[in-house]
Amino acid sequence: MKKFDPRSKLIFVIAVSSLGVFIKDLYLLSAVTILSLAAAQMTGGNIIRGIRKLKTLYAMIIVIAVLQSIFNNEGRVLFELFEIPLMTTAGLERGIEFILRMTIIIISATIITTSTSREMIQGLVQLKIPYEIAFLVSLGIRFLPMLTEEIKDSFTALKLRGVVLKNISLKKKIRIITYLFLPVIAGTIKKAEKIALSMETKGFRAKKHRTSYLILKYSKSDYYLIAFSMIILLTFTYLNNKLK
Amino acid sequence: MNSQTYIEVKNMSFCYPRSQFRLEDISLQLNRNDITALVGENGSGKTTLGKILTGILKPASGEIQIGKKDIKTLDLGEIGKKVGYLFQNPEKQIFAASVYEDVSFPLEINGVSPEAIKDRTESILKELEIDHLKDKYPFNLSHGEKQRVALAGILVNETEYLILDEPTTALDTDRKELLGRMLQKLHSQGTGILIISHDEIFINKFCGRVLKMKQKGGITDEKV
Ligand SMILES: Nc1ncnc2c1ncn2[C@@H]1O[C@H](COP(=O)(O)OP(=O)(O)OP(=O)(O)O)[C@@H](O)[C@H]1O
Ligand SMILES: [Mg+2]
Repeated sequence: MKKFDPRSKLIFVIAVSSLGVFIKDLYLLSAVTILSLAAAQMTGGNIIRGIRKLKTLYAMIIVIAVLQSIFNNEGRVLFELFEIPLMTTAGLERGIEFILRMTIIIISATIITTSTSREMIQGLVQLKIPYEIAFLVSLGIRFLPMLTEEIKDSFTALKLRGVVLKNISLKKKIRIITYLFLPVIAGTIKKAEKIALSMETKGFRAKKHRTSYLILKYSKSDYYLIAFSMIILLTFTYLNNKLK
Repeated sequence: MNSQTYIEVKNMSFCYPRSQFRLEDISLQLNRNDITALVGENGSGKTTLGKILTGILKPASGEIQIGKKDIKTLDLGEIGKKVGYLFQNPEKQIFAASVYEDVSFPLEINGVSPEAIKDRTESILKELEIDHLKDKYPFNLSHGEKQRVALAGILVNETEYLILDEPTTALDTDRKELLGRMLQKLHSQGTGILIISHDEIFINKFCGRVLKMKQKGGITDEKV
């Protein structure tokens, strides 16, 4: 497994995920999905975990496909009930397109996580992004999964206080949600205070210029990856426009 | 089988997704006529077992019954009405902006009458000696105070069984004594209690039965 520079990974991920967002054609989208899976495999991204994260979204294919079939009068009807087209070829395509887009985004995110946050910060800094902002970004990325974990725990603890969620009014449900956020926010503020304190003690921003022990250098494989990213970006954009 | 058995575990095994730790083939009965202690070294799985008994963690195999009902058929809210669970870290179960509201809101949501809510909440706050804190913001209280607020929040549900994960760690000597006497009173009224603890003095004084977690995920019964 090759070790790529975080900057070249970032460029690849930006290229692939923007393709994922704007490509309209189903076949091109499938090709991009396969490319992103291959790249994730090559950089050592955890594909299985990415796919597991998508699990709940897969059910959405059906919902989107049915909604699109009913309200979008395109394509051939595959299945209908009382003259309402429940499944059309166009609807099915929309559903699959949606899931391919999500797959591309999540899978390319797993490529990013193969770099440590220190490497990522350094990568951004060497891309001429100010250290403070680079640090902020990586801190944010670290915080997010922690936050979802905390909300889940907090919900479990709340239910265990004997709150039965079945058959209660919407007003009460909203109240429960506000209760959920109080401990999460309080916990987050506490964590943030701790981080701020430790940053202070380690002299964050004490001097104008930061030197770094870690200096990233592009290797040959990085140049290949960047060139490859540019090529697929251009080719797919061209094909997408031509097929319109 | 004891007629007072409230929680029954049969051949239960458990493992965490990304960890070596496991509990293997555990069977035990927890009775309503006991104050039981669960002891064992750090990391022996006491908290894990407590979380399994309250449905927070799901066992890989085996069976658990609470009050003759399979735990799989109960949702967490229903379990919470039968078994009060005190987290090792009390901050995890504090939710509202004032102590009074925190203790009383589950009753409100469950549609208990306002008079009953006021009665139950005020008497529990008084009993735990935290009634002077009732308008305070719970997150800024001391650890021992938070622990008692969290305890008030589960006692107010008047559950048939209590599982308390290290309830004495942050309490001073007088408050420990207070807690012990409260538990004895609840016990005499028919509430079953399991206390997870390292506090030998407390256990010797108040617990009639001691369960010990062993390494390799087994469990033994040791009477004091
Ligand atoms: N969420 C988790 N994921 C993976 N492993 C875990 C998790 N929580 C606990 N463990 C592991 O399970 C084992 C038992 O932990 P547990 O918290 O049940 O111990 P304990 O007996 O309560 O310890 P203590 O006396 O310190 O409270 C430990 O080895 C711990 O590392
Ligand atoms: Mg523990």
